[in-house]
Amino acid sequence: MVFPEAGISWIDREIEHLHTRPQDRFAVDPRDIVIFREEILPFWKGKSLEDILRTESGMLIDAIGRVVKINQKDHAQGHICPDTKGWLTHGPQELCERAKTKLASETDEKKKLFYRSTVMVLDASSRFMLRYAALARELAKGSEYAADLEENARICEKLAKQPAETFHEAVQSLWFLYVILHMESNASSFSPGRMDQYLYPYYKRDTDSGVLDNEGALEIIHCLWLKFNQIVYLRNSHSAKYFAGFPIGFNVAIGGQIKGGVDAANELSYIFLKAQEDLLLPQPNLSARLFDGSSQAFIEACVRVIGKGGGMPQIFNDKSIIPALMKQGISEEDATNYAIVGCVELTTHGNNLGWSDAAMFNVVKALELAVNHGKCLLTGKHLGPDLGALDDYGTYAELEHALAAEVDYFSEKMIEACEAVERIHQEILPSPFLSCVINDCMEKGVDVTAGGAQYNLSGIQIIQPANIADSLAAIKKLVFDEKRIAPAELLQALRSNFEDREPLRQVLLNSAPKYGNDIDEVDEIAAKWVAYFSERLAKRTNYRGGRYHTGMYTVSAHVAMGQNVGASADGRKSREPLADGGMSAMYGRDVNGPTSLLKSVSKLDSGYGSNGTLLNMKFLPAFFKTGEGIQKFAGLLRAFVALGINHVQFNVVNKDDLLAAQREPEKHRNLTIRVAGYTAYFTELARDLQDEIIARTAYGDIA
Amino acid sequence: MTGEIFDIKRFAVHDGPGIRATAFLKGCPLNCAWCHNPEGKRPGSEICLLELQCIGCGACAKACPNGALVFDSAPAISRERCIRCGRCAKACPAGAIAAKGMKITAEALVAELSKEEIFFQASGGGITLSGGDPLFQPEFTAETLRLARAKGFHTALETCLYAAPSVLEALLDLPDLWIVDIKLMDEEEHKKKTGRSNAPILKNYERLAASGRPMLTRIPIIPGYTDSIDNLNSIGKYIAATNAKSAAEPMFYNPLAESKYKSYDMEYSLLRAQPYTEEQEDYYRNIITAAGVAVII
Repeated sequence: MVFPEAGISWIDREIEHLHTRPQDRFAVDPRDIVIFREEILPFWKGKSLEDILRTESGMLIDAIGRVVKINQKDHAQGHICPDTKGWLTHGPQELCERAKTKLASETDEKKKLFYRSTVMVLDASSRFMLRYAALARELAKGSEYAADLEENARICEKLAKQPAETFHEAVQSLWFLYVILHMESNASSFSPGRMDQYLYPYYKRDTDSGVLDNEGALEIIHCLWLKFNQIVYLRNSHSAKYFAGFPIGFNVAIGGQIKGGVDAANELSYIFLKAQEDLLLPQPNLSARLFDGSSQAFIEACVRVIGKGGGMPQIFNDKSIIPALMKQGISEEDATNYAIVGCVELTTHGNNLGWSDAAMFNVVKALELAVNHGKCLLTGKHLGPDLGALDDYGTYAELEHALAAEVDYFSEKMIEACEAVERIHQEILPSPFLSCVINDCMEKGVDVTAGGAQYNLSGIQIIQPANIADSLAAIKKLVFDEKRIAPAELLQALRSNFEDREPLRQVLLNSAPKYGNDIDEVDEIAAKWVAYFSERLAKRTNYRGGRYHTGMYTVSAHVAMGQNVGASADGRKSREPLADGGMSAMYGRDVNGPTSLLKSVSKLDSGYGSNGTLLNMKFLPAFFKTGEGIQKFAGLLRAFVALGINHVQFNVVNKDDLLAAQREPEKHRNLTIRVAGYTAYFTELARDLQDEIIARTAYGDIA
Repeated sequence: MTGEIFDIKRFAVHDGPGIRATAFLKGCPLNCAWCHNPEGKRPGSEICLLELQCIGCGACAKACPNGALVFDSAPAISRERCIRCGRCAKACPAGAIAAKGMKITAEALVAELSKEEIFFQASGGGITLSGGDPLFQPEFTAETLRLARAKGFHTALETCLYAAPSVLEALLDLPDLWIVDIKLMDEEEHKKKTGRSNAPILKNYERLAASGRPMLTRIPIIPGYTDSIDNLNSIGKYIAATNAKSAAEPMFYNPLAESKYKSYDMEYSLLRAQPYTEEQEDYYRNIITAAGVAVII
């Protein structure tokens, strides 16, 4: 499906290459190319979000592009957790009646327009369901599955008119909601959130009355899990490099707590884990919430599924996330009921437009400019303010001052660009259907893109604490404290990408402390710059009147962002990937094992990760083979909770598997691996991303 | 109180209950061919050379005060001339040379191990002293265990038990768990393959068993050295006879030790031995179980 109102010029440029591009290929029917060029393009050219933004703010966005990647330029934002519970409780008809009532008493013309549009889409939703009912009835004729299809038809017909009552109906209704959301918006990551909570009453009633048993519930969930893998989202080739592996982001949260610190895990939480274990597919993105009160049984059940190697469930920490969200002005009740959207982005349920992927800020690039007169090491172009170069700064403090100036300069420009993006979204991409399931849009008569949600956050990612910390620690120790390396010598080495200076690069690598090893001296540098960036941003208000806050995750962008950065003082060569994930150490440098890495990560204030954080760890399968191993792993997760780290996820693979998959991809098509915030098929990843995954440290190795 | 260690491993998961931090102490009275920590055998630093990491700058040769390290396209150490001063390791920018072995006070060691406290608490873990053999530095071991216990940590001690009875008596109540090993039951064989008689070991083992202190007995199963049916059967019966409370944990030969020997220019007599298959491992476990001892997998 093409959404010309969002983006069209890039499709015009790329449509012939979609089936051959290096990352995330799509087959395109040549006849569709003709229709696109002859009918769609001429009508929409110049009218899309992409084209208008390019005309109005293209220069600004390009000027800061090497430091700040502005997102949502040619598609809708998505990344939202709708009020699925409300949708199940009321159904489209009742919501439509409510909209009609509002419309009848509304006097404001703009709001009347809003209500009229919601009536239209809700009415259309009911008709959409009826079409499925008709189709199922048609298919039932003479089919060996006639009884099932008749039942499907009954359910679809019922859901068009009234709310769901049974578990099966509720799951069907939920899926309709997500299909329609994807039809309205070309976006990823409409996330169901805490399905084990709001589906539980349906499950409980059906199992109590005996119309459903656990096997039946599991079968329905299996079907839903398959459905979650059927919608993929077409990104442009640049974006596909940043978010590789067809991520769509149906994020389902299980476990955690409800009000009063009561353990929320229930039978459905375990059924979802079982479905995940059975299918091991990339979607849904299954997330387990843990807290002090999580039962040992639940944690060990999670660990057993992690041990299967699909990278799920990923683990979230109530202990640090709930306070982090409350710090952003979110009520305790909403914060306690938090969910995850897309990969690792944090949100409340059904009342927040989090705009979590507003921009990625490459602080490593800002440091490059700070040591080199504001000039890009790759192109020599002037990008930022010139406060001097490394050999001009007499002290480490002067260098810090220059870095702060670069960060400030690009932050200002970034906010300007973010506002431009949001303004055009409001004009071009109002989302009436989404607004029906985000509180309080309907109440206020304001579209979700225009600030109708109760909470209106904007999330900026800080890229990448590990490289910042390692680079600054090396400069501080070797250049300023010990004076082992002359500033001019280091600057020259960075400019020449360490050509003929391998011994110097080795000194940077081996004689300075590295983030990820529980060494305060370097970990505190990471903490300091995360705090600086986040605090500056916290003072600003976004275009919808909400707050800016920060996250620390890159998805797979650390490869693409690294290609933008010249040689750095942490010993990283020019254009090499940055540290992966978000809070991970630079690969291969966390040599003290997983506990030290967790300690390092815990020194970064998780309150600055209220938009979401990402930590990758990799264990070999041997660890999960014994009950003792599983218990110890559960112990590691309990320590993770105690340390107050927002997120961690685990890959379970061995290097030989990966190398074999590179050699003979056709034999390993089933190999799934966690790239960043999601799971993808390993063989579908670009070669450099594959190499990078192989290079990451493997824990649990013998010796 | 100062001792000598050669490594600290955090996230140790094979040295007792829960997640542990293990310190490896220098020095061991035995000389087993299969030892996977050959750098821990004698006091003082051991110079470790990792050729793969060498970038060929030659800084090591310039730093050597005794002409022991020669650089000719790759570094080579004359182990006879080497005085193990560690200057080459300091000079190497690439981390290709390391001096394994450092002096440390018991207080500093416990402080270092305490960094893992949150993991001990979450997993029911603690600290483990290993080696080398901690009984080779009995006062330092005792002091470290006392300090760790004072912090409320679970403590484990790994030893071959080759020590004077007085050493054992002094330490008896300090660790929460004794992890000991029995390699060979035949005394002559023991002398031949470890360099020492097993008489003091067995005497200490029996004393320990009689004390009722929690213990775990490990049995290294090494191709051509300890893996005869006779030997394993005798060990199983011996454990059953002396201490029904201790489980036995077979420790199967691990071929990864080979690369370590190479980096110290030490001779590895198990060169090219194949690791056991899972079926073979089960077979050996069954021999021990049949002798009357519970086996930990």
